[in-house]
Amino acid sequence: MTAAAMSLLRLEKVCKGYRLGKEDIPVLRDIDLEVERGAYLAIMGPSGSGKSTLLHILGCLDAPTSGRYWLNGQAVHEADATALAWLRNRSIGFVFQNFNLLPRLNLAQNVELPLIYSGVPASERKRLVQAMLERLGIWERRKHRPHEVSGGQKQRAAIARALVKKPDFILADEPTGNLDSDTTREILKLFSALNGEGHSIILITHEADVAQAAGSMRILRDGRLSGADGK
Amino acid sequence: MTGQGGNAGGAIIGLRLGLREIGSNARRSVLSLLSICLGIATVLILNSLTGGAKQQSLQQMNRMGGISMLTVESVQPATPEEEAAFSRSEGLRYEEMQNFVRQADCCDTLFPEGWHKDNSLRGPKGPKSGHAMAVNWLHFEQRNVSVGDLQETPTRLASAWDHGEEICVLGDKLAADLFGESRAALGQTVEYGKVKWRVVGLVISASRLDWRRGLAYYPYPAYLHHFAGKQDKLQTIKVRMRGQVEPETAVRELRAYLLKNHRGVRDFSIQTAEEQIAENAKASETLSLLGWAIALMALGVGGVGILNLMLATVSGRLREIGVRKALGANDASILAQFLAESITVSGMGTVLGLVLGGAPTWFLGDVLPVTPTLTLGDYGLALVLGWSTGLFAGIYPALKAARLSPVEALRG
Repeated sequence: MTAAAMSLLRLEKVCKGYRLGKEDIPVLRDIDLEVERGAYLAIMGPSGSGKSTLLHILGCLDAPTSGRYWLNGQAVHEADATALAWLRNRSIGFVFQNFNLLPRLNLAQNVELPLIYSGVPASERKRLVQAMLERLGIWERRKHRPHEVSGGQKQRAAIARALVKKPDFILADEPTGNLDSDTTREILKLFSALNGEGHSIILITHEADVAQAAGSMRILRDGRLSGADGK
Repeated sequence: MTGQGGNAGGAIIGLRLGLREIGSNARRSVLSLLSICLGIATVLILNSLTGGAKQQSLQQMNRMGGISMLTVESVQPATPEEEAAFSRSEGLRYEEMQNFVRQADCCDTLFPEGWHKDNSLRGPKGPKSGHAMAVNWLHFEQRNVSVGDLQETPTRLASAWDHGEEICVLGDKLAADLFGESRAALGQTVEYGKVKWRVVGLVISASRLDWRRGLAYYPYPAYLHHFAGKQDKLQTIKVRMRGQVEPETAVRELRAYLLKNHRGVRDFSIQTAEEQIAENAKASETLSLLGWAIALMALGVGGVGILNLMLATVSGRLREIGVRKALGANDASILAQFLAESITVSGMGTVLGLVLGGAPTWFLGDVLPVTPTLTLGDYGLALVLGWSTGLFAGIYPALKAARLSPVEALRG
């Protein structure tokens, strides 16, 4: 428990399965994972390896069937729905492959959402959103809606939304999957810079060259997690 | 690990976001708003009309002599035994009623009403379907029927009328139908029941839809002479009681008098104005209940409309719900967001419905046959009904949205 409290997050013997009719389908098997603060970890795996399921568990969006998960020393496996929502708001910054920006809101309003859910006053929200949009170079686009900006700008807005609450770590799901190679390079460069500033990042991808941008890599295959060398 | 604000904090945030979302989903909001607006307007319009009908019936009762009037009617035999029994009596007659009023202390005035089977009147513009009512001259003076454009002095006309001359008073609408223009009828003759009647005046009414504007009046003695034959049998007659006389006393006296005259045969009925008011109240109560039933159904349809639209909204915004949950929205804030949307939209619809449903009472009072009447209580009830409809219709979709698992919602 002491070790768990010291690291950013720790998974112990985490399993996840789904029931299909009368059959149990195991998706994740005995996942052990420990991530230190400030780490930049890529979890790479082919399609169907259980990447999304692992992302959902790491992101407190879903609960494991068995095993234990500590985040910042807090037992996620014992948390109820309200506590999980609080953890998602305070500790995790999501970056999705398809950006998942709300289409009816402009970029600034999208970035503001996590602050609203944590009860930050309006004036403070305005200041934080401006700082984050300026930091990511999309301040001029703040009043544009997602469909009015480029893919790279959308992903920057999504990263701004993930960072604005100063989460414990960024959880990125195929963040370059919908981007061209130039924008991919630009976003990966941004992740490296953010990691350099002390942000912890967990990047989930099926692309080896994207995974290689991270400081460390783990491979997920058939629901089992192994080292970068596959062992 | 309970979260900084827990469910209460989440609910407040959800409420704020819900209000913001209304503008973002303008088309859906307008549709939901219209459902409730029409439901509430139906509630108010039906309620105002039944309320108006009730009030009008009371006013009419007052105009026609108020509670000082007794209505005496001939009863038709229902069985062969009754028919045999009724044949022993001469039936209800004008003459006997005149004798009663002359000798009794309880009643002073008679208002007979005679209706002939002919239902068309003929003038230069051809025959027009309509009815003529035989009344005495007092009917105009004391039962709130204003007659204008008199062709002779009122005294002379009153005398001619009660002597049964072939003269008549036409409603101005009927006069216009028969003669092209209402005043053209004055001094001319109109044919009714194969008798020619000289038009001596026109009924004047402030309301365009007053039914008396389509009616013809002619002298009751003339009705007896031309149509009732020697039998002088009455269908209906109203008798006005003297002031301070208890209705029960008058009814008792009149009943005793008629039973004696009719050889103990009960071939008549006597109804006090109070009984008529109670009967009318019962009828308007039924009408009111029917109105409420229809109105509540309309509101129910509005509620189902909101329910349907909110369910469609939840289905169409699954991914958004997932994203919001991923960003930290808890179940309470999602629930509050969707409830805030449906309650606000239904609240706006309710207020619009109050305006739409209240409009007839403000603008159409003179045009409608019944003056719509609404009380503050009616508005209050409609307000509560509208809002609660939005609340109940919004609960299920909002709960459905709140209970979605984030993963399920993110998959869309």
